[in-house]
Amino acid sequence: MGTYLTIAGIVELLSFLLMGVLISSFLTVSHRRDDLLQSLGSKPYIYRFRQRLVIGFYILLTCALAGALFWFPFTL
Amino acid sequence: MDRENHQERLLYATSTHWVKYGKHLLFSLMFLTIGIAFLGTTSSLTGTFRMVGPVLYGMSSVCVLVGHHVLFHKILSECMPDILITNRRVIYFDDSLLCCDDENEIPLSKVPGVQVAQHGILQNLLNYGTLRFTIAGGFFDHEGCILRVPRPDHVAEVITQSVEEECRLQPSLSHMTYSLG
Repeated sequence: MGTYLTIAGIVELLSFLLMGVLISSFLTVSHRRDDLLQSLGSKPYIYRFRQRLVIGFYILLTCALAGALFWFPFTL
Repeated sequence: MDRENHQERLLYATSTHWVKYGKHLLFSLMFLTIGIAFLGTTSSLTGTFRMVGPVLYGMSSVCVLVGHHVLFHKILSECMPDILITNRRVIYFDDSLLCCDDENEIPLSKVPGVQVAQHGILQNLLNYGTLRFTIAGGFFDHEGCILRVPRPDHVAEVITQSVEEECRLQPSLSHMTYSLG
């Protein structure tokens, strides 16, 4: 059991790190795009809602996968 | 009045067609299936071979998470509007988070024509295609093309109208040709 949980811990740590890097990179790019849209006279709030939805879904699914992978060894 | 007309303003903003996610979705599903298959094997082999179980479990975890992150990397890279048409220029972005951050601009004053190309059953069925910008009878190479444009006829029409408006304000500009492929 201990081996399984150690493996799950390492893999999930890397997974959450990757998720953090991807989200921060996405926020940087999307803020730049929002600034451009605003400078052209558009209101980017519609896109912002979609972006938050995608980020929320990404975090939720990553947590669900982490839960499933930690739960699996207990079923063996 | 003239100053207001010459101020740059956004006419149209869209994202490239959702078909761009297809390849990554298949890739992700493949990895997810392999991961689940490994998990199934893990549970059946744990009683027989004690060492094989954790290795298979590690491999299955990696497969599932690679599939998951690859799909979301693509979704996050592409969910922003990446084709912007203003009364002065066409701007399009080619983004891939952490890998590529290209911004291309085509000034409308240098665009005498735009061609719409929709080839194949898929492109006609899902209504997307390629926009090619012409200059003096020739074509820009790859950089003058915008791939996977949704409703390309409508987008070309917006560009045509914008160029015509620009031509009215600056009569020295050549007239635009518009053709459907």
